[in-house]
Amino acid sequence: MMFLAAMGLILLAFCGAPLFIVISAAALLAFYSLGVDLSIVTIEMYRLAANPLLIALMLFAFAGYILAEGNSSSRLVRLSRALLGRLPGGFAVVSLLCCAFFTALTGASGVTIVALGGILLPALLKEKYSENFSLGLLTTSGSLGLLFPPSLPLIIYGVVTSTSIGDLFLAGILPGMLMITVLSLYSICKGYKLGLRGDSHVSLQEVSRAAWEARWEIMLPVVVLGGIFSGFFVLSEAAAVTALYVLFMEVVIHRELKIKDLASTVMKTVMMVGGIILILGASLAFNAFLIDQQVPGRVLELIQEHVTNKFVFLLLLNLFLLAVGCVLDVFSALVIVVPLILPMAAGYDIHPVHLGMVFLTNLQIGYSTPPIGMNLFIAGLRFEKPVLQLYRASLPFLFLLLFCLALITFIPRLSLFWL
Amino acid sequence: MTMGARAESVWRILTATVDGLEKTILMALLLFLLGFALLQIVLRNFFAMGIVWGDTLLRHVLLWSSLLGMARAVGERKYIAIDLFPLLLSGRWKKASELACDFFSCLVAGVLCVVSWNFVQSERLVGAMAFLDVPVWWLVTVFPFAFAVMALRFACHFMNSLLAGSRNEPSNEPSGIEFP
Repeated sequence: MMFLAAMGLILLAFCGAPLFIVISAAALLAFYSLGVDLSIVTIEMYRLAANPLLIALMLFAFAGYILAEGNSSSRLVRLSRALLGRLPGGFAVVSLLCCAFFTALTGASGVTIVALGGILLPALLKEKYSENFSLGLLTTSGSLGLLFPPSLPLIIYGVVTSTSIGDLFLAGILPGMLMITVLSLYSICKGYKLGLRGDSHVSLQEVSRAAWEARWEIMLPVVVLGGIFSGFFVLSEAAAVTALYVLFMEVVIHRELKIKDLASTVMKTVMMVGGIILILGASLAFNAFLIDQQVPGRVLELIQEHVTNKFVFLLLLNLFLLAVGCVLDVFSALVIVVPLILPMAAGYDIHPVHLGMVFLTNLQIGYSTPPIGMNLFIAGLRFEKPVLQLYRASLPFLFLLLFCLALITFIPRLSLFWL
Repeated sequence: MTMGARAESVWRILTATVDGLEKTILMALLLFLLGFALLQIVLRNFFAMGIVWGDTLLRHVLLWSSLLGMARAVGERKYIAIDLFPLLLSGRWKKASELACDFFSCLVAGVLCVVSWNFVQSERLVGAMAFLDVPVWWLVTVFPFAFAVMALRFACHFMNSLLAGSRNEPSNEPSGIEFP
């Protein structure tokens, strides 16, 4: 009977029922079968509201949405172009850096492709990069900054696993830079092969002009990271200051966001974060049931019978997560899968921070993995290209990212260097 | 004006009012969250003081904005869902899966509403205070309220698809969530 119910729920989830409803239903059924008072589901959701990190989640998301409304993206592109334009293949590197910067601040992907893609694609094509190269680059780097602070998925991983956010923020720096470096080298080689010589018109004057124009954006990481790592603010306060800073920048300084448009930005924020928080609450309730039934322990025993080596376990985990990343978006994947995997990983002596990096890198890549990675569809809509062409275009980039994933997985020191 | 037209205009005014009210409340909640968090920073760093119950208040504001935000997301169909089959299915099967999802979601939201109402009642009996003189049970009434709104909206979606289906019109409601 329970098996049938579980199958029915999975079927409904794939049919497009809201994930929050599906997980809540699972929790309700589970507690009903145990004969426990069902209000425990609400109690678990209420318990989640006590987590101060969620305030940071809401306010960082707000800041990200405001940032996406204005023209910050074009100012950033102009500045990085002035700095790197002389390099052969420099503009591809510019695109990578801008995407990473933008994704770190706006959280998950989607917005990066929508906000930056429109500026970067024509510019890449004008530099004589092939269409497929440009499309592949923009599609896969739509989620490139996921490991850099203060990205929302990092915060959610911290909430779910009760890992220190400061540690996670530090841990993401090297793996994130690794991916950017590898993709940059590839782009430079490609540029060199195409005979691109870089833009020799770029002058020091242009650099200073572009830097002056983007001065508010440049200071943003200093405000966010300086505030957190100096210990001057706790995370939720840093998020409040960031939101205020971005609001001030877009409304007062640049005047790109009208007060009357603020309402739609607020609505987008509460709808998205509300959705995430409710999924988080519902899956907390469901996980309480799983832990009560000792499910993670039993699965661990089962796996340990067959897999004794830590690295084999990590390899299997990667395959599993890549598949998950294709089907679920990063937020739901984190909330549903992490609590199950965490005790298993502990059984193999894997550091939770390292696990977090492996997890997020996988999900980041899963975003652009065929057949249903979300970046592919967003890029398809944005650039008006068939998804099949984007599959092909993304392949070389995906292989390089998988190579980085292997390094991140099997060299834990990359993630634990600063700890 | 016929009865039908009058009913329709009343309905339109009603939905516009609810829409405006909802936007105003959500906007007020989020801006309060931001403003109050900033106030706490200023008080602590420049005046070496703080509002002791401030954090509890903020967490409840967050709870309210999340639940009401989700209720709104249900109305606009901008929630997180896997949406795999709707990509593969078409025609009658797609319609059927949509109807099944809305019906099921309405049911679950209804159960959640009842269950959280019981939670509110038990908190009321306990009579604990969240902060100052504000009892916890006042603050958690947002649970049954938001779930009731969600159930109602799923029911509306269900009825709309059913009616559109019987007239053989495709429903072009947007689906999926627009990520930040």
